[in-house]
Amino acid sequence: VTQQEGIGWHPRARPGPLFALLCLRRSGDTSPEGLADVLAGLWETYDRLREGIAGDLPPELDYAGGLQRLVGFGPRLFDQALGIDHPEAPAAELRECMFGPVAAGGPVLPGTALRFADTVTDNGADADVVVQLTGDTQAALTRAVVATQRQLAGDGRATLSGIWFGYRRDDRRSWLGFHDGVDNVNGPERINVVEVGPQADDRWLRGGTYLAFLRIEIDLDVWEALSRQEQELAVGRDKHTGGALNPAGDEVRRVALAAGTTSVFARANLPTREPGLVDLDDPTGLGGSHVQRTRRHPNLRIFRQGYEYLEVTGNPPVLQTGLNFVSFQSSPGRVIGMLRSPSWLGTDSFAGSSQAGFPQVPDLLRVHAAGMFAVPPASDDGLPGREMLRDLKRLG
Amino acid sequence: MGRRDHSSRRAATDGYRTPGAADDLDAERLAAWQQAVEQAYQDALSEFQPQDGSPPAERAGQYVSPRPIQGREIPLTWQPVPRQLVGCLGRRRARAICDADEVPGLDPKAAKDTLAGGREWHNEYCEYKVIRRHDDKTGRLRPKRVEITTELREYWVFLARECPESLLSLAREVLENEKVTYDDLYGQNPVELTPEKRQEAFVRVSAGSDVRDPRIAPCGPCNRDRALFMCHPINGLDDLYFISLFGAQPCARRQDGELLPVPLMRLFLDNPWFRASADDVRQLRDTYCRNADPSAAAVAYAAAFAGARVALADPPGVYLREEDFDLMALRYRSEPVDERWVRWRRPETGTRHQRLEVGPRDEDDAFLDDIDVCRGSTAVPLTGGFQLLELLSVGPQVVAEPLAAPSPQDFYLIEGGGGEVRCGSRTSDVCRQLAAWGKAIDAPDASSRLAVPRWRRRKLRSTRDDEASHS
Repeated sequence: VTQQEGIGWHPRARPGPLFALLCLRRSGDTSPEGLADVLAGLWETYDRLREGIAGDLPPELDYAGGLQRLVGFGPRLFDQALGIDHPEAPAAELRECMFGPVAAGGPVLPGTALRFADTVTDNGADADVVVQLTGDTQAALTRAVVATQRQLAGDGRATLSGIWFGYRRDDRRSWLGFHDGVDNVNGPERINVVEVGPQADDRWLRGGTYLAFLRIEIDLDVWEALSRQEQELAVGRDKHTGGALNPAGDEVRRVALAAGTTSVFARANLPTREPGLVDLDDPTGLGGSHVQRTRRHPNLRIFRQGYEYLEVTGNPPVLQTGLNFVSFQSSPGRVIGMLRSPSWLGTDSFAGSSQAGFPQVPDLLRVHAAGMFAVPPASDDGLPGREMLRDLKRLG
Repeated sequence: MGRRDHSSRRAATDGYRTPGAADDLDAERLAAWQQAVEQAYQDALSEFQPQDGSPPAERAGQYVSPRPIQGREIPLTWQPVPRQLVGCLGRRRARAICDADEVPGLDPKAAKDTLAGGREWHNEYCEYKVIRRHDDKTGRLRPKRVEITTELREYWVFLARECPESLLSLAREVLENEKVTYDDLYGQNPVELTPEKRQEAFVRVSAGSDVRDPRIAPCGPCNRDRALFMCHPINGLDDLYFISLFGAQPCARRQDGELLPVPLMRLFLDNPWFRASADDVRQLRDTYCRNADPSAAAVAYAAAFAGARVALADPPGVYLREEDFDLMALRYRSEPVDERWVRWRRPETGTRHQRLEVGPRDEDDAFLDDIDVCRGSTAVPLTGGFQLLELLSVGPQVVAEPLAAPSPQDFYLIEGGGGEVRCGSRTSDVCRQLAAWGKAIDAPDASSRLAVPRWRRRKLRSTRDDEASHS
């Protein structure tokens, strides 16, 4: 049993720097089996593209572009196919942890600080199916997206409810200007963070994972109104070096990069990257920083694999900057816990601690789509999760 | 014994107060409690015996203090969901076992030798009991509320030994039941007994044994029908010290001439103190797949790597943290739950507590399962304690005091032996043991013989020696 492609779950699994996430909803009365047919057709198309075969053109393997594809299933599929009270309904925890229908400007989950943008009226990631595509070239990625759209349009049994693009920056910084993923879960720990265990409730999901997706707009006007020092307190890192900030009495101490290194990602900077744990009410305010909030519970970590985005909206054009937050974890409760817990992101969507007199950062983030998906392991027989879809028909 | 004013701060060198500073003791008894803490530390330290290639014994405790120290407080928390249970059986069955009053398939002898029902697997320093009441409208027994406790067994055993009158009074107060008797706590009147005999009786009736002794599960009502304090053998203060000592070792890997921190998994699989024993390593593989132990080890390790010594903050204890509790997930008729239905206690003030009771009072018409849990946009009924553990965090508060940074020769090198751990693997000792429990929950009418779990993380060698002598 192994994870599908597109997840950096071990050192040799390296998804490309370009990203697209596509969400699908079943049309009308399409059965789970009908949906399986649709997805199997897409899977064959992706396989051909991976061999450099695009449409009726001759194979050009040199231009396959490192396309990797992943399929997952959303709570909407199980809810609508079965109803949540069905005694044998699969994906129970996924359905408990689903992001809801949108109230424009409302919280992404009941009682959380992170909110949808006012303009969002339909959460496109509230979907039956997710397809994640990653690649090394724009051509590889975009032709897979277009092929998906055309195939679905011609078939009619499922429609796209959302498509989002992103990319990984080669400087490994985010729009906030800080290094991103500096202290992501690494090494041998990663597999136990990502993998649904071999005895999990849903047999079809064992060895797979859960994908969380949040399309998060970052308001640069709000962010850049803060001084560098305020930004660093909010993040919990040195903006220039990426090193963790640590308390020293009532002062904040910067940790220099290891001698002879210039990147925080250098191995020798492992101790520099790792922040010491700081209490919430620490007088420096560091306890309320983003890094500290998300690290408060080391046993509930997630594996982040985010992609930045830049989108143009309106006329005259307005630039929207943001992050495709993508994470993989062994349980959806890990992400939901982070978003909900008052000491994590439940009371402040990014960072902040009023007790410490530390500046809040309200309105920095606005969510445009939010979804949670069960991602079965790779399958030797083609489409992952196909048997589960067959079983849904039996249960329904 | 009286209630303590825990707003008062004491100098760190004064020694520990009572857990949570919830109670006040006279000087003599406080000194005896501090001695009990010291003893728990020494018990844990005795695990670090030199064997082939291990560091010298005198270095085992250099980064953990048994007494309060001056320094910066750092949080140490974990979600108290029994991770081994979830990993080995899946969430649905883990929840069913944890919430069960009785586990089908457990024969009467085994039932007597284990904690009541699913509490046998509440092994993340947080135990609970679901209190059920008859619903006159339906005639059914329904969950009314959940009592959750993180109170240290050592403290209650100390009280039982040293001051039975105070113990009785405190038990009545915590359980809010003036009818609790000495018989309920000791099985007899302890006043005329020697302290040793009192402890013996209390262990048999209320506290159960720790991991060192032949297994005794408490038979009295205070920890079978109720949750007075933690009585699981693995949830002891000595185990907390063990895992802190285990983590607080200056281990490193060498890369390009640099000494770098090791991944936590390596600390468990290739630990210089235990790697010479395959049996120890096998147990540590299971330990890695818990919530509490890797969390505690990670905090202690980070401190030791940086050359800092850690200690439990004063007051010592394992705390339920109000600031981590996702109270907003609980809804009653689509509204936040009545504040009388969420009671933080021991102490009642502050934000760190050792007792939490969730659910309607007896005089209320509502039942626990009338409350909804809304983690996402779907509401599901709250039927027991497991769902509450998913909304909680527990852990002690730790103090770190910088010492001189270790010099390169002080580090123990870990080079990456021991393979890897895939948590939930059915070949692990704990998953093999749990397989029968899972079958019993799935098919309660089928005949299955469940073994009494053996909790033996601590006292690794002595337990193994015991086994050898019994075989």
